[in-house]
Amino acid sequence: MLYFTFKILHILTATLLLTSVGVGCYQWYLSKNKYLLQIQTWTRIIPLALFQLLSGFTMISLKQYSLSEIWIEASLISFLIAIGSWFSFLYFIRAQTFFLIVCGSAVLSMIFFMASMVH
Amino acid sequence: MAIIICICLLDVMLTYFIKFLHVFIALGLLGLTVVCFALAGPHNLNKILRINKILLILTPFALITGTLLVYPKQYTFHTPWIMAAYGLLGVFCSAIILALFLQEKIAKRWVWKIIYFLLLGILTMIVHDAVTKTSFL
Repeated sequence: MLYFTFKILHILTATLLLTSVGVGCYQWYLSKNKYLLQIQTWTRIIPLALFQLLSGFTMISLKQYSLSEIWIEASLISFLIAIGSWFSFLYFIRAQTFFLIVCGSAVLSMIFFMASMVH
Repeated sequence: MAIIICICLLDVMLTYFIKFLHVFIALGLLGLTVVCFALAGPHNLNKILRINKILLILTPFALITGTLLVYPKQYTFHTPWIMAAYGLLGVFCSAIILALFLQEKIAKRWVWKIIYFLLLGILTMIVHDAVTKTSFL
């Protein structure tokens, strides 16, 4: 029961996280104002991302999965790449489009591994 | 023998890819409905109309990818939570079509907030059923 509750919360917060990122990127694309996006990152995106990590690890411990499973390792690596490239996009002036593409690709691969639970 | 193994591997990879698409589209549907809920009101009419059209385009893809996953995941179309999901998605789709027609006629912000909140509730019920493999209804 607890596992299912966390899983549903994990999916719903993933929705909010991706929506915040999408809306933030759209507003940045229209106004080129990174300051707003930086505020959104620290007030919404980072707390939601932390909750995603916490709920993910809680589900792993509830189901007693091994951390060495391929889909868990791949999801964690993709998550770290996504966070790293997002901060690079926010705070480095050069190669913004490249970091945004890397972030998007990392998020897509994270969703692929978590949806498929490839062993 | 090698060809049979390759076909089996392709089949498994295809199932993983279809499931990824299904989850991605579901996240898209949820996310866009959240945006509509946030923007609900007469001032953002054009944006909401555009988002509703995108929702209407995504819904059949969610239906198709879900349908393609039924047999590979060893379920049948008579499974209660799958039947409930089809019904709820039908209700969601009808509500979006109605919203497209009534968008300009209903100006009250709180009415649209309630409508999009209910649509979020419908999608959450579908997610709940898919996760727990039991029907909420």
